[in-house]
Parts: sequence; C-alpha cells; structure tokens
Amino acid sequence: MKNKISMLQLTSINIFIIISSFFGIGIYNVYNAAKVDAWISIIFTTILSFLVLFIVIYIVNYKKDLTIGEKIKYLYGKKLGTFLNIILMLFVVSTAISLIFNLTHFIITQFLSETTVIAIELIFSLAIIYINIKGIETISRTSLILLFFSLIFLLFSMIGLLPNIEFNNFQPILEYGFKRPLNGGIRVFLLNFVPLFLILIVPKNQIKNNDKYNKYTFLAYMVGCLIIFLITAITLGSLGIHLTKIYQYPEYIVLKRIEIFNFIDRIENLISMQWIFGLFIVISFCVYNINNLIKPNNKSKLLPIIIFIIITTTTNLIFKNITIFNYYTYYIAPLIRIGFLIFILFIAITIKIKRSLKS
Amino acid sequence: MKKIKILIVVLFLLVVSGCYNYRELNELSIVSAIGIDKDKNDNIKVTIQVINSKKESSDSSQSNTNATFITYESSAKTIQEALRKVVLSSPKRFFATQMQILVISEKCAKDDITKYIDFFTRDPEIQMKFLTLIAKDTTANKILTTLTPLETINSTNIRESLKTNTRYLGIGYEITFEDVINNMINDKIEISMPSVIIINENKNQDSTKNLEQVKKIADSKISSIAVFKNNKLIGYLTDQESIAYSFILDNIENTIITTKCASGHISSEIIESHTKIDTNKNNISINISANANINESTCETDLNSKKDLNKIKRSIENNIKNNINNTLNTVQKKYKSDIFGFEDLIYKNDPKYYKNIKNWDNFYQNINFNVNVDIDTLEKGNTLYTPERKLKNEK
Repeated sequence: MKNKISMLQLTSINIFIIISSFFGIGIYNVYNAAKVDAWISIIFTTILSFLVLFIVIYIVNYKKDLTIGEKIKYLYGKKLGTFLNIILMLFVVSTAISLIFNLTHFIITQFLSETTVIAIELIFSLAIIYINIKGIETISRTSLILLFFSLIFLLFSMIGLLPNIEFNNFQPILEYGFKRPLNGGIRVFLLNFVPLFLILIVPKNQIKNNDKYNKYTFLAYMVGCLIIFLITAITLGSLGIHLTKIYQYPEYIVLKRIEIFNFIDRIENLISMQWIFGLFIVISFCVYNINNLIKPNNKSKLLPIIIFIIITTTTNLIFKNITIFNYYTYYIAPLIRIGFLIFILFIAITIKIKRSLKS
Repeated sequence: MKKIKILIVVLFLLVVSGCYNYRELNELSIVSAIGIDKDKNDNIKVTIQVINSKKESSDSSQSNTNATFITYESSAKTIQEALRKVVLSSPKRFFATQMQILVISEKCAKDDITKYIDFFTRDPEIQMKFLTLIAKDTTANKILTTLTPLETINSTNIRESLKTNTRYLGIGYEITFEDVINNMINDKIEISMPSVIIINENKNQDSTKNLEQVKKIADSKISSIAVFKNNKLIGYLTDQESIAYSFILDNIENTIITTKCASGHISSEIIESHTKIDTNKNNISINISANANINESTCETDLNSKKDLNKIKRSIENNIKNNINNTLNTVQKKYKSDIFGFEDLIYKNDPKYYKNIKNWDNFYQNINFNVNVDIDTLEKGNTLYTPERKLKNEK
C-alpha cells in the first residue's frame, strides 16, 4: 500500500481529534453541565472513553486493508453499504461544520473583528484543500509538526498559569452529587471522544509498524485526556466558575493572565495558535474522510474543493450566530454523537457476528 | 505547466503580502482611561482620555503647548452610542486595548453599577486588566481632566498611586475590572472597589496653569474603599477601615500601624502579613500572622527588654484586632453588605450547612467573628535604643 503513514503521525491526528472539539464546544458543555465539578467530569470521560478505544481497535483489526467505508460495503453489500456510508458521511459533516464555525468565530471575535467570515474561510480553504489533494501522508505529517508546536504552547501556558490557580475555585466539591459531573462527563465523551472513529478511515495496513497500533492509540487517548483535564482544571482554578461561564472561550481568556518573570505577558494570541492548529487538522481530516467515503483512494483534485465548499456553505447557512451554535452544541450535537456511537456499535456487532459465523 | 504554476505562486505572493483590514498606529487614538457619569438628562456621559501621540513623540527640547492627553466627552443612552458619537470630534479611531483605568461616578454607582459594565465585557479589544475606581465626591469627568504634577498622563498617575498605595499603605486595593465582574456575577459576594478624589480643586485644574503652582496643586488622590450592596454604592469605609479591609482579604503587602504609649507613639511597619479565614457554622475566625519592624518610637520603652517588646507586640496586635473588629461591625451592622464574601466562603467550606440558611441577610447579622492577630517578630532597624533613652541611661 502506497502513502504509508507512521504510527506517531496517526497518534498526532488522534490527539488533535480529541482536543480540538474541546475548544469552545466541549468546554462550554462541561462547565454548563458540571459547573464547579467540571474537572471531575473529565475523570468520568476518561473512564467512559475506554469504550471508544476498544471499538476503534476492534474495527480497525477487521479487514486491515480496507477503510471504514469499504468495510461497510463489504459487510452490508453495495446498496445498503452505500446508504450506511451516506449516514456516516453526515456524521462527519456534522462534526466538520461545528469545527469550521468554531474556528472562524474564534478568529473573528478575538482577532479580526472587522474581517468577513468568507475571507477567513477562504484563507483556510487554500491550506485544507491543498493538504487534502496531497493526501493522508501530507495531512499526517502536518499534524505531527503542528502537534509538536501545540504541545510546546500548551506547556508554556500551563507554566504561566499555575501561579494563578486558587484552590477555593474548585469548591464545593460534588455539591449535587455525581449527577452534574456525570452529565458533563458524558457530554465530553460524546463530543470529544466519539469523533475518534474518524480515524477508522485509515486502514491498518496503511500504517508503518502497525503492530504497535493499540499501544499508540492508547497513548493518544491518555495524552488527550490529560490535556483536556489540565485545560479544564487550570481554567476553572484560575478564573473561577462565574467568570468561566460567562465567556465563550474561557480557555483563551485565561491565557491573558499569563505573566512569566514579570516581562513575558500578552502572549495569548501566540499561545492560542494551538487551538487553530488543532481545528485546522481535524477539519482537514474530516474533508479527507468525506472524500474517501465518496470515492476511496480518490486522486481527483476537484472533489476536496467541492466538499469544502459544501461544508463551509452549510456552516454559514446553519450557524447564523453563536446562540444557534451554542444551542446546537449543547442540545443537538450530543444527540447526533449518540447516533454516531450507535452506528459504529452496530458495525462492530456486525463484524462480531460475521466473525463468529465464519469460525 | 511548471512555469505557469511558479508564475501563479509568485503573483499570489505579491497579492497577499499585505494585511487585510489593517490599522496603522498613527490612525488610532490610544485610550488611556474612560470615565462614566450621568448628565442632566439622565443620559450616560462618557469621558474618554486619549494619549496625545503628537505631544508624546515630540522632542522635549521643543516648546510645545499641547497637553499630554486629550479628553473627549459625549452623552447618549448607552456607552457604545456615546463612544461612537465621539467619532464626530475625533479624527482617529479609538483603540482601548491599552486602557488603564475606568472611573465611575458616584451618581452612576449609586444608581446600579451593572448598567455601566456590560459594554466593557463584550468588546474583545478591551483587556479586562484595567483598574476600576469610583469618583468620590466628584465626577469621573473632573477626575480624568485634572492635570497631575508627577505623571504627565493622569490615568497613569492614578494607576501608579493605587499600586503604591496597595504596596505601602493598604488603604486602596488594585481591583481590576475582571474582579468587579467576578464579584458582580457571584451572588454571594458584594462589590467593593477603591475610590479616587480630587484634592485642592480649583478652576485651573484642567490647564497647565495648575502645574505652575508649588502648593495647593489640584491632584487626584486614592481614597478609601467604596462599599456596595446589591450592586449599588451605599457608602465608603474610612482610611483605617480600608486598611482592615485589606488585612481581612489578605491584600496587605506593607502598612504602618501607630500605637500609643504613655509618653508618645510607636510606628511599626507591618510586613509579610497572611490571613487565614476559618468558618464553623455562624462562627468565623480571622487569623492574621505578620512580622513588624519598629520604624519610629517616641516612647520611653526599652527596646532591648523582652518585656517591653512584648508590650509593643501586644499593643500592635490589639490595634489591628480592634480595627478589624470595628470594620467588621461597620460592614455587618451599618452597611449590611458582605464585601468580604463570607457567604461564598461558608458555601464553599460547608455547602450542606449553607443549604439550611434560609435568609442570608438575617444570618449575616448574627455571625460571630473571632479575630486573632499574631505578630511574630519585631525588628528595630539600625538603632538599639531610642536616642532619648540612650541619653537617660548614660546620665
């Protein structure tokens, strides 16, 4: 198989998938649902997300040469398979549109308030379409490089924010029992970890040293969980629940407090690039997913362009403002992700039945 | 084909080399402070203090009659509308990212401070690190138009005064706009913030004539803490109460305590103060530990005697303790305002007990405070004796 990617590159995509939906979407959900117990929610998420991890590993080990789209067609036949692939595609589109809106809205509200959405989408479209034309190898290489920078920025922000943490911002702990943190935990699980199924578009045999697949996927999961936990705890510990709840991007606002050695400050714009990197990679990967679901191993340069135009237009049509977007992410997106989870579970069960029938 | 590609890339690079929607620095008016007042028609009157870049950049050797800052005023129903109206008189666009202070007039604060806050939380260009003050016994406009002698930009003067005050006296306290917002949206803490007054008010305070005088120069001065109840200004603490306020909130970096003795006074500098507050149902204990330096003594005490030093230590402790008790009493009984956030503290420390409190206002009136002050070490500076006592000993 040509265009093989390394395990580390795949891990970087996995980490970005987990953390990118947290910015502006997951964090909004977790603070609204769990409030001051948001950090406990992430512990619940960590436990729940094992399920996703097992399903991903289980499905990827079935027909190692095939992408998820091809596996579905193999399992259910051409007609039903195509229908199911369309449903899967809709799940990917729903993920992509929320990420595109999140990216453009963040840039417009925080940096370029006088710039039109179209201009920002156009700039990103050039890079997203380009790496999609180049294929998965380029996407994964870019992802690994950007992850390296993101982790440096993250480390820098952690060091800068640690002195700002006040432990009474975490109190009272479990005032309303486990109900609220569990609600928050399920939301983060649905919004951040269920999209991990996107990785199934890469067949196992397309990865070098794929015998370490389980180990590296677990590594990505652990790193993702740790990053999400640190962001939640540090943002809450620094801002307190009241300020955290009033901001759309509290994890960005908290970066404004960074002051290292009394002279390194106002670096929030540089450090927040980590979110932009993550969103850029996951949006690109969504386009790659749709592209491959429509036409596996597609070499056409036109298809990624059409896909990106369609999803950006859909984004602009659906999300007229942040209120609609927040309603979508809090009430509708978790339901869509439950559907996504059931869908993937259905495939895993079919594989299990096929395997048991064969044996 | 390759040449065409290279040509496209080169052309593309030429086209995208600039910035979209850029704003040059010389096209901006850097806002250093904003003042909020109410005009006669009950509209919001906004005063914008802008740094005069022309003056700041000019050579100091050249005579220049321009002021170092300019203020613009405008009135409207909302702050946003008022700010936009100012555009009519200003050739440049306002840029408020570097804003240092927000001054709110007493009249607005007494009305309801929440009405004047929303704008500043929404604008992404505004950093919420600027300090917030109440214009006591005057208007925000007068505060921002007074030329100050030691700092050319008067908002810098106010900000630095407040910083110095926090560091060396403890009457004021650097409260950022974000702190105000936090207290405003937290229904378990009342708002409190420092105030600013004008001393030696005169007709020329907004002209350079004010700076030509040697004495009685009109100047802005940091004053005591403003107390709010339900987001409305209800009064001010005294200077001593403001120091006690800083002690309770663990904001004292350095302050002076003067105690009386039979023959005079002793001034001690309090350093390294730490406050710990414990709650147990309706009993709150405030434990303060600090170090002190004896800076000045006109008493006939023997600073080498352990007994006398203990006396001084106890008198400092009692002084702080009495001041804190008086302040707690004023805030609890007179203002009935929970500016120290005891409600939030009880809620966080004992949420089960907090749930049983039906009416916080009534409960607050019955809280028992137990203040403990412990001064650890007493340093005496360079001298072992007071000169007076040294002479007496030699005789």
